[in-house]
Amino acid sequence: MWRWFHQWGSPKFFYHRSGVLIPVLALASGLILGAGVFWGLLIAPADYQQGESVRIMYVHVPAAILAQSSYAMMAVMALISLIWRLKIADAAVQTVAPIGACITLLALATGSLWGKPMWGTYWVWDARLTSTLILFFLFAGVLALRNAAGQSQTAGRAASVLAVIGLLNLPIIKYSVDWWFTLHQPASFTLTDRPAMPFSMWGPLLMMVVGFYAWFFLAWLIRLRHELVKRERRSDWVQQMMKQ
Amino acid sequence: MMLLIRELKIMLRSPAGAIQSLMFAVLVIALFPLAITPDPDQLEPLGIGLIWVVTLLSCLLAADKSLASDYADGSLEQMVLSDYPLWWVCLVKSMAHWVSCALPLLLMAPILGGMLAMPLDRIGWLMASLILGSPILSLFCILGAMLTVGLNQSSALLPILIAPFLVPTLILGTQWATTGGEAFYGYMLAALLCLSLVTLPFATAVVAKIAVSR
Repeated sequence: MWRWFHQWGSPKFFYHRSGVLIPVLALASGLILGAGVFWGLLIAPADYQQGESVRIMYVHVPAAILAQSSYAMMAVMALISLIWRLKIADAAVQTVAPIGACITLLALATGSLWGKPMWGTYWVWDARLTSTLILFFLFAGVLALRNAAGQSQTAGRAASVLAVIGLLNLPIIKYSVDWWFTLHQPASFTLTDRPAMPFSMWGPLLMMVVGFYAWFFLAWLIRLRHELVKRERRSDWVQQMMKQ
Repeated sequence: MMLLIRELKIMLRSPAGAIQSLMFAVLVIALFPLAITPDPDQLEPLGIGLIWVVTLLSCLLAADKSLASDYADGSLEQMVLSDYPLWWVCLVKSMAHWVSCALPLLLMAPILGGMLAMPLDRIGWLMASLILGSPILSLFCILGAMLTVGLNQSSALLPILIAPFLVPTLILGTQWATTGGEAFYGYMLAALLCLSLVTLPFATAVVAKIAVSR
């Protein structure tokens, strides 16, 4: 078990072994996203209350779910890089931060587009909107600290500490914002209850969520491999690879 | 204890920093009636929120300076190397920041409230919420200062990093004051203060080790 863990922590091993995942993930995200878009935007029924606008949900909900979990993944990677000083975990933190920030921005943008026909306004100071906005600022903070501190090892560690503190603070921020004001409907998916909507609607939604995750891991992996080559450019294995 | 005395001495010998952040707060508060309206009835409901935001901003503004000179002349490194527990150093730094930045504002709160036409009982709740809330601001500000110290960066970096973390404090503090001391918000604010007091100095200590190794 530990040997397996150490092997994957080595940039060289990771780079050579993870290559096969790229076509798999590319195919999976392409197919699932394509099918999900087709099912959600063309076949799924319009909502009796929201009309056609409900279709924005097929992009908004996956983006919102992914936004939160990508922050969690970033913080876990940051914790790993702080504790075990794995080079690859540090590279993972650096590469996931921009993706997460973009996804969060996507969730905010689609949410406000949906808000206009539904609530009559692009933006309300509602609890969930506000905490997503703060999540975006947390991503922005990690990115800004990275950029400010340059490429050094210590720069990475400071940004990692910030990411971990952010994760510990997220529940506090979420609850405090909840007590402040709330208008947003509760989450559509929970792990324990059956969804309240018909299969024809949660089917494509679930598909889009899975597709978003596949795309996310694809983007992350490509960026991470690129970053690893950049960081290890002086090592033998990269030099050899470049000669070929 | 010596550390605390040292910090206070430094502050007393050059009070310019504390005075400037106080002046900044008074000036900003004076700008609001000019920008919005001089009408007391419209200013009064804004008072608590405005004073809280100004407190938060002037704390963030002063945070940059609180470690810069210690970093530049190497005393921060000496503190990290010294026998003092590092979390205690960070806690002392936070206390010094609070004394130089939040305390003057707290004492000025009646005057600032008066400028915004707040009645006395609301000023009382405002001060109570600032007493509980501003130490959290200072603890976070020192964490942010430690994260950014020694980086050749614009002074906007620290507020970007730290402001999101101050949101719960801001919400709980202003809600407590505007609801006229509803117990729930007060308890939560006190709980947040306790939590920050026992965790943030240790987090700052971790960051301090990174900062001196740059």
